[in-house]
Amino acid sequence: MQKRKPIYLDSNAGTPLHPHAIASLREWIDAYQRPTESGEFLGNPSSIHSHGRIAKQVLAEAREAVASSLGHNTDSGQVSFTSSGTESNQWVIRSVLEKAFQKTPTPHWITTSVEHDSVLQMQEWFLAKGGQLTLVPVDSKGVLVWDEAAFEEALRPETALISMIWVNNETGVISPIHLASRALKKSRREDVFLHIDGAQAWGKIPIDVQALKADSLALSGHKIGAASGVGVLWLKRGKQLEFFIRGKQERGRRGGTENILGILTLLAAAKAMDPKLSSQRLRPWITYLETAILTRIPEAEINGLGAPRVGNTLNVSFSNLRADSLVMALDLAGFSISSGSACSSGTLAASHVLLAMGRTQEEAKSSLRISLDPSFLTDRLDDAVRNDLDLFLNSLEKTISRMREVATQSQTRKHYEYPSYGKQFSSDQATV
Amino acid sequence: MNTLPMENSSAPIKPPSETKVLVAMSGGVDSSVAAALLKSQGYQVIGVHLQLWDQGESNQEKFGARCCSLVDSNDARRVCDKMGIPFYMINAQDVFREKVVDYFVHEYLQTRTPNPCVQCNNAVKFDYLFDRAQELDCDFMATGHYAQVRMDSGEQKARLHKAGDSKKDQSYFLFGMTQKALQMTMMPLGGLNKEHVRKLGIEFGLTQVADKPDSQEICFIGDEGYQGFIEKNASEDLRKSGVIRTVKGQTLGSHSGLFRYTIGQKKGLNINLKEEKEGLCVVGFDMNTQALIVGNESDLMKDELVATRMNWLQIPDLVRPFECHARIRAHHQEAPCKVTVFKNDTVHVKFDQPQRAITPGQAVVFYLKDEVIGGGFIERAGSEANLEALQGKLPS
Repeated sequence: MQKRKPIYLDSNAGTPLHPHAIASLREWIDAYQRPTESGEFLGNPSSIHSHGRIAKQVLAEAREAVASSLGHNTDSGQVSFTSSGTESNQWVIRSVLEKAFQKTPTPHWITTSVEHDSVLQMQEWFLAKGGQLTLVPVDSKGVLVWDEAAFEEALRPETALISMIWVNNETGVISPIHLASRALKKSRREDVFLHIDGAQAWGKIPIDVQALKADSLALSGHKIGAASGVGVLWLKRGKQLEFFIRGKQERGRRGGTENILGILTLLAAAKAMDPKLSSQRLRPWITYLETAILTRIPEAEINGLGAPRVGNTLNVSFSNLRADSLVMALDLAGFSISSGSACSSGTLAASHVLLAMGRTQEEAKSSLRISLDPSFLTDRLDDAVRNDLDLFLNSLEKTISRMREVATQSQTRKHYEYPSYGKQFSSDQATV
Repeated sequence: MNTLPMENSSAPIKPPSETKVLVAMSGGVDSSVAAALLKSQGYQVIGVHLQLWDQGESNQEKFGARCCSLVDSNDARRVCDKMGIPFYMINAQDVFREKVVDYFVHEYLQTRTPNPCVQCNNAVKFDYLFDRAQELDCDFMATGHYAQVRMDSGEQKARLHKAGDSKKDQSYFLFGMTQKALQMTMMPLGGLNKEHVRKLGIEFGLTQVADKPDSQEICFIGDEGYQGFIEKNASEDLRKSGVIRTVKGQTLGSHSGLFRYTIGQKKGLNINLKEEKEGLCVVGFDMNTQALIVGNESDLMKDELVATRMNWLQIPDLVRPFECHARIRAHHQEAPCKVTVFKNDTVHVKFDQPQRAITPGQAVVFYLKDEVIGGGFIERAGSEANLEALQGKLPS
């Protein structure tokens, strides 16, 4: 429909493949094209022969690359590959809480009101089984309102798990996750498991698992330039999880032949990762968009304004419009963008994150998330980047003004008046 | 590829390549072919599937071939993939529940017989979705309806006509459209018949949908039937039982809720007198006593009705009664009548010949030859014999 190529502004949903990931795939393409001549291609990592060994080598290198992206001296043996961030989150949560249910019928789990959908799903599961849930509230900026003492106070004898999202996928707000670990240390509750959902933190802020003092960390490949279908779970040494999928792979922690090509891309992307530099380069553009939107579009509100935020994400609510129409209209105009998280943008549900921040139902249905990744800047002059963002801003301004006009017309249009049959019926018949 | 009888539709001012058209796609063969036809003519087509009702997982098998099931939305998506059309799903469950489903229940509780498809067109497709089309900067909206929109260039007005294939004609369901909506609507199947449309479906390679059966029943009602649906959706206090009485006042039995009956119904009457049973049918309701009134076929024949909540596609004569044809339900052969329009959004219709089972709640739609000039909802029926009942509704 549009003449130019679509512009991608939805990196928090998934980034394009990192150039190094593409290069490493290319390297192996020839081997795959002529399997009989090349002698080596990536076989099954569990096999004894050379094809298996070379695949196993890729696995090991990827594990080491992931480990070094998580701080100095991180033991690659504590890194497991999964299918997704969702699997990593649910593996930990389910394992820890199922064990807790064996000890008490009403275990306790402390988590936040702004978790990713994969954790919301587990909250439903947990409540249905009779567990007790404490949700840490956030303020209007999306920042957790609890301090260290509040965490300490919330601990109960039957508390089994604290899990927290580190960087929010919708707003980009960074949570002070050290508060929970400090509270646990102070209260000497070594029995309480601390899990961090770091899917949106990886590649955006520096991570050091030693300093984190957490028991596990969930990560996701397609947020950092690897192919989708690869997740990571880092587990503190000495911690054990129940099987999610039984099998001998991943050092007996998770079954199923590894997604070796996906892991190959993860190896390259993790090696190339530079959170400080990408944040430093992307933040000015996010600020540019933020300023332009607030100047050019009436009744726009930045969600998480003034809160500590990662450099690549901008979440903005516009009054009096439906975000799903806005996303469709922008798509037709050649901009790929989403409203809130990708998981919920198939249908127009109010964002639970924005609701937790005290927004109204209407406001929570009218937000747009703009997210960039370093590929947006790669090999391009500032002018070219600015040009793309200006195209987007022009389109956004035009679309929003049109949509608001339609909404106004619609409100003033003559509607059929539907009689209140129900009321009339009950009041009439009450005397019969 | 066959050309579309576009001369019958409102003529776009821009060339097709610059004209954006939102096609409402149910996942059935009609709307799929409508989208494919427009795409093949060079229009910028956008496919939208409205998710109207959540049948729940347990009902998926049952609802497989019905409106708005998961299967249908997937079919619509695959048709768009095949034709290279951007496709979106819009969740319209809230508006559908309020404007169509709750209305449906309320009407039955009022002893009226609603037509949910009329309501869905009025409140969902040509109101809610029409807004969406404008939000997406579309020049037109298109549907797979069998009816024809013609642009009267002299008057700068759009006119709604019956379909070329009278067997499939759906113009009755569309009388509630506004002039603006009509001017911005395309109905590419208006001049085609169903066999032709199925053939086009195959020619376009839409094998997934070409043989799909027509949707028959009300899309949100499953195995429980409409009576079970109302039981589930309305509190017991609103579903009172009562007696069955003849027009002459004789009590014949009892019923467990007036919502189970419609005018002209013969089945399901719980009547004790065997000799009387033959030929008895529902002829009316007494809301005050909750009595079901039964009578003979002859009691069903009435030649007058009063309708309200009118929508006019052509401005009617507001002073003199005018002659036209009126259709009183979807499958009724429209009959000649005289219509008087009153100021308070009310009309009085006098048929040349008595009509069988004029049913409150149903739409009455007025035709001049093949053109829909307007319509409204039947409030009550009468005949010379009980004119006082009618006069109560008319302004003095």
